Amino acid sequence: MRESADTIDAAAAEWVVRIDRRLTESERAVLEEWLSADPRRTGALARAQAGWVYMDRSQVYRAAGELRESRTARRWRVARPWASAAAILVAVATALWAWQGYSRTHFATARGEIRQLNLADGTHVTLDTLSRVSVRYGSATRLVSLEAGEALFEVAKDPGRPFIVQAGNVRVRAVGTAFVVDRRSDASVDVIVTHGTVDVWREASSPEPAVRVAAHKRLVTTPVQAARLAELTAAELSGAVAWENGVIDLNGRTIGEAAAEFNRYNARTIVIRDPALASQTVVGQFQATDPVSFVTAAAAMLDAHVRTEGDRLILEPGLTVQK
Amino acid sequence: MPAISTARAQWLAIHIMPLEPQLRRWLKRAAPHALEADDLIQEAYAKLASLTTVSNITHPKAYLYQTVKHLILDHIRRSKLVCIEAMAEISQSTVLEEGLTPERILSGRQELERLYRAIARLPAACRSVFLMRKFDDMPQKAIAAQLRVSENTVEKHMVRALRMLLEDLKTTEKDFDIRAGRDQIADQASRDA
Repeated sequence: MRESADTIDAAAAEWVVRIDRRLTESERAVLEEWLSADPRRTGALARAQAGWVYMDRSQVYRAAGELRESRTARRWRVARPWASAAAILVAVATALWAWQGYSRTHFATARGEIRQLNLADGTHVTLDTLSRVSVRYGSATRLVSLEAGEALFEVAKDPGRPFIVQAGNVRVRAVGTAFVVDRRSDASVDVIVTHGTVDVWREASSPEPAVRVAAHKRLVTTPVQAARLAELTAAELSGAVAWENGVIDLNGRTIGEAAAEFNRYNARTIVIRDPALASQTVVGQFQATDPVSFVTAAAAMLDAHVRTEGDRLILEPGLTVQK
Repeated sequence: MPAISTARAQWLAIHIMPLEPQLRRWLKRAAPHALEADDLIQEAYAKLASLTTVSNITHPKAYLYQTVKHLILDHIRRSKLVCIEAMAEISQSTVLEEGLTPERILSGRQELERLYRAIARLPAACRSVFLMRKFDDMPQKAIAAQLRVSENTVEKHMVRALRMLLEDLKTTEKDFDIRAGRDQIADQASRDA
């Protein structure tokens, strides 16, 4: 009778816990023998060990103290909407930051990487693909320089120390709020405010008055033109910060724009030479690191097909079936 | 650590574990009934654990699905009654299939929320021991001393906590219903075709 997956999983969990407290020599030999009998056992052990590591992520709850309290609490409230968990996030951030080591001030993401930084004061920074920030916290100000790319800032309240983001000569100041700063390739800087308000101004020879940007608004600042303020609908706002979850939101964007967005994240690039095809608009949410799904879905929708050429996914009109 | 390196365990934790729920759903739909998802997933982890390097894997999801597909084909080939239909079905079902529908992935925060709830569901004694080990970073021996129980008892609680949490990682609670509905629609469409 073949051993069931469940039995193997049970034994694998036991081994992981034994490995955690260090194996004796004889146990080591028993483990070797156990593993050699069935490849599924190696797989189950690998999975259990991965799970063990995965659960380190729950470390972040350490500072929240919530689970700690629950050790004595009789009843456990399961549902906990994240909207009301800002306090936990602040505490969580502190714990995470403690992990990262105190000396680090420069952070960067590779192509396709989305990274969350948790700063000393409880501020939460999410870096989008190919982005770079440097952090300088002083006693009077909290200064973050966005050197490239795009970042979402969820700023912890500290009235005594304003939080200022530099993006080129553009400055964004917040006290306790959440906003996105996006340094675009055309040298303009987008500021999108999700919560609270921020002040935006340009550092120039002649000082400019700051523009106040409230929640649900986007401010586009270019090097030359006056800043433009626009109201965002709820859908536009969630689309603008969808990348935080590794999702590309294609609400009414053209296929061409969508392809450019995917290409920011992936080594496999989408190429669309046909302008008629590129100008079609699409709706949907896709995983940022999965351009293949996107072009395949786009091809199916637009009676087009996908041709692969090395690292390039070429979307072409016509239903030519390619295997 | 024997069996796999910590680095490999981390890689699996980051790139593979989060894909498990959707992989299981795909297997339920695409794999022949005689093959158990749990078996195939153990075999897939074994393959990924035994690779000399994973640094060349740029698309872990595609790699995982490809690996599982090969495993299924091997099983079909080895079984005495080769079912041509099943073989063709699996060969044709591309890795893309799962990705065709726009999907929401779990954000870091949702992932943490899920773990948080899973830990909350643990029996009290298991949870205490788990928290002491994982959050306070206490060795098992020290936990036993503090709780005045045997090391064996601590080990048992740890095993139970780990097993329950690993079980939780098999499914997502959130978008399950939506996904199941969509899968039915996809099945219907493929039958109609």
